[in-house]
Amino acid sequence: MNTRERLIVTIFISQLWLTPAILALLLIVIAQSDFLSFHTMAQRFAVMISFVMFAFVWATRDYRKNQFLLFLACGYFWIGTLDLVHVLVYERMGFFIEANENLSVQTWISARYSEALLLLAAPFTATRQRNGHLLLTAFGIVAVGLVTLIFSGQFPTAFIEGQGLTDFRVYSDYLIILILAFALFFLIRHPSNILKDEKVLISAAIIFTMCAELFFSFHVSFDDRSSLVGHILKTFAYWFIFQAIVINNLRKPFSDLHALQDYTRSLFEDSVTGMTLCRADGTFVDVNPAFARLTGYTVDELKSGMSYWTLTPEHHLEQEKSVVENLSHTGKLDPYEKEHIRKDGSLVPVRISGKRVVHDGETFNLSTVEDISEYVKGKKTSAELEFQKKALDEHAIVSITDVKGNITYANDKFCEISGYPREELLGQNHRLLKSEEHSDEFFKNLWRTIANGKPWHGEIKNSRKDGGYYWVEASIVPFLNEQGKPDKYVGIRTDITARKDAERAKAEFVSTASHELRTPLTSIKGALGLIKSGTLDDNSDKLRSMVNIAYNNSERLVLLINDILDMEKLEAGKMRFRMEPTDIAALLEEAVAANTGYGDEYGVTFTCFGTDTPAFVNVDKNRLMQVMANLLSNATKFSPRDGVVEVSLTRRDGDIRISVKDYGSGIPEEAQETIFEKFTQADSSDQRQKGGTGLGLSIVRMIVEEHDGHVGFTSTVDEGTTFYVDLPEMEAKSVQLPLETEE
Amino acid sequence: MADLKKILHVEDDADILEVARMSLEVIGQFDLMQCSSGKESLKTAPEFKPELLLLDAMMPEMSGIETLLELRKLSDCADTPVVFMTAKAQPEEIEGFMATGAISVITKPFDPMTLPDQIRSIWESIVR
Repeated sequence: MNTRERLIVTIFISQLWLTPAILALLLIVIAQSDFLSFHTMAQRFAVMISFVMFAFVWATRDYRKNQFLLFLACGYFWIGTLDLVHVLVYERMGFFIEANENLSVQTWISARYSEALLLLAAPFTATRQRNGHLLLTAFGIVAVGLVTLIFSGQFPTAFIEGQGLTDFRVYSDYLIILILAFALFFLIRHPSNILKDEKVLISAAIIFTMCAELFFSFHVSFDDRSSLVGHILKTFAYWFIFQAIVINNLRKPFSDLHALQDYTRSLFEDSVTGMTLCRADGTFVDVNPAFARLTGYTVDELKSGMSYWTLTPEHHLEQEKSVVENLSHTGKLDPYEKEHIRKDGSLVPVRISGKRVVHDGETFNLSTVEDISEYVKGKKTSAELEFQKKALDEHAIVSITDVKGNITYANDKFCEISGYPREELLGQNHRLLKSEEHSDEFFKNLWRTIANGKPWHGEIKNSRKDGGYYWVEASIVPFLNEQGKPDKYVGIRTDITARKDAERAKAEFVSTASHELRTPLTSIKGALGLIKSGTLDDNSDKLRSMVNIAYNNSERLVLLINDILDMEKLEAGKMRFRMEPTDIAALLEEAVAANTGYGDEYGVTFTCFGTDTPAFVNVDKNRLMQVMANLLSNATKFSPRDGVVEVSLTRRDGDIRISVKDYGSGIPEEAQETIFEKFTQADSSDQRQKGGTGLGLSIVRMIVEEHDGHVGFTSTVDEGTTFYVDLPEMEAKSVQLPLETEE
Repeated sequence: MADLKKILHVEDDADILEVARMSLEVIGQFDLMQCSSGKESLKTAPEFKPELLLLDAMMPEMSGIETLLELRKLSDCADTPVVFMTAKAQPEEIEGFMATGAISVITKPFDPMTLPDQIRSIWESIVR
């Protein structure tokens, strides 16, 4: 309790006792000279309190949680009315001709019965909702009933002139005291939500009433001493009821309001959210320190005529105008984001919400202004991160595992390349993808590196779900916790399968090519070595044989090197093709003529079919001659001596088909699949016996495919083989032949 | 063990066969039997009873290693020392040949003048 509150309590206590004490003294003094005036004053005091009490409670009845006070006030209204009648009918007042003291005492006793019963019932009504009009009417009926009974002479006699109070009146006093004792008991014991202060004050009022009744029971004449004390005590009793109902209930709302104001002010002052109260023109009426901090101004600077609009950047003016317009229509400001200009000129992003309030006829805007710099920064960072992740996912195979290697995240590329659906990957250990390519030491080294918090970089071969494999260039980065220990690993990988396959193919090619080059070299070096040594000087046949071997193998070496170079150029896409409309029939005739000499060596004859009408194809003439040379020499080498090789030209589904048919041994089934691969011949011994590099058909296929064509074969063992080349035929109108010019 | 006399040479390239014959027979004075395929060597070996097998590695139908495996099945060649003569000259390839139990690998191209001495010294290294 602070000093102010203590003071209030002291005043309250002194007020509580001082006023009735002074009033009692005043009444006693008046009673000494004029008892009628004393009686009238005392009763009027009670009546006045009853009516004031009623008026106050009736006016505030809608704001009460319980109806305890309403019940009392409605009751006291009619009790006050009965007391008023009591005063008015008193014969000495002279208003009623038939008035006498009995009527007065009867109204008095009926009022006291009513009061006692009202106080007895009141605690039980505290929690119930009551209809005020109904209560007032019900109590009114009782009061009017009682007055009717009294004036019709039906009410028991309470006073006999000359004899004093009747037994009815005396026992009534005792009965009223008893009822009040019960009322006191129930009030104290009743666990209702009656305020503690109210309970104490009403209890005091009941005790004073009980005492008053006791004194009234002793009184014999209108102006005896017990009547005086009784009235004084009743004045006290009414004072306490008045305190309970009016004073206590007047003081409390004010004290609550004051506390609420303090509380609201402290909320306003201490809030971390900015709050402003502006006039309709935007001038600040009040701002809190949080808002001042946000803007960089002081509270006083802002309140000294600064306007909301001076804090609004130009690029927000349009938005702001529509917001203000909306506010004037709806009366409230839904949260929206803008920027404020700080004192130093920088901009601070804010989120504003608020409402329109009217005070004393003037309109104000009450707003909360929240600094959302961190939120905006976070949102921006989050958007950037999201974008970076998207970019990463576009390119890389990404997964995250826990420290045990269990997959907790896999992106689309990861699922796609591994062949596993995401739901099958999540929760599985990454070793699911392990291939046999790498040693245990390789993985131990990997795990040692990342477990020590360092990133690992390297190339890994993984297994796909379908049993295939893929190579990745991986970076596995440990995600370190606050203790510096990894708690997850992020794997970012690039698919390098194509590169690895190309590397392997290249290595194989180098190995095979070096083997193929060394073979003729062996013969050349051996033959020349023997010649050089002079060992064969005496034997001219053997000498010549060695020279032939050296020469033939040199030739083979040259062909081989040319083919390897062609192959390399074709594979690298560096071979130039000079495409031009070419009469393929004429080209075939030319190719046959060019290879006739070669055929003669093997005793093989070439025959042409279908080459008597021109057929145009867009080709590089020299490269197609190379294709024909390869096919014709192959057919020649594999034909029996004195055999025939048939070259034919046919049309087929818009294509021109060139066929080269031999009647040789055919290609064994097991060799057919790989016949177009590099360094492959159906029978490698043939390669040596028949000559050739093993690259011819590979080169043929690559050249034909460069012409958007297709090469294939049909073969039957011991019957022969037909190689065919299909090339798209040019439409006649699209053929632009070079014009022949007459010399 | 006596000096090396009988060599069975298996090679599919006719020119190399001829050069090797000059080298081993004329210069090296070995008792040489040549076959142009693994299949042919299987027929020849039991009768010839070679002391050393000189095998080309890359041959059609039966490679050098396949030929060796088949020859090992013959009682006369079960333990006969074998030397591979190959143009497959990369270190891992040579390791592969040695792993079959070959006593040496001679890489092509070879020098016909020194080949007999080279073979003799290989022979002596296992005789000792």
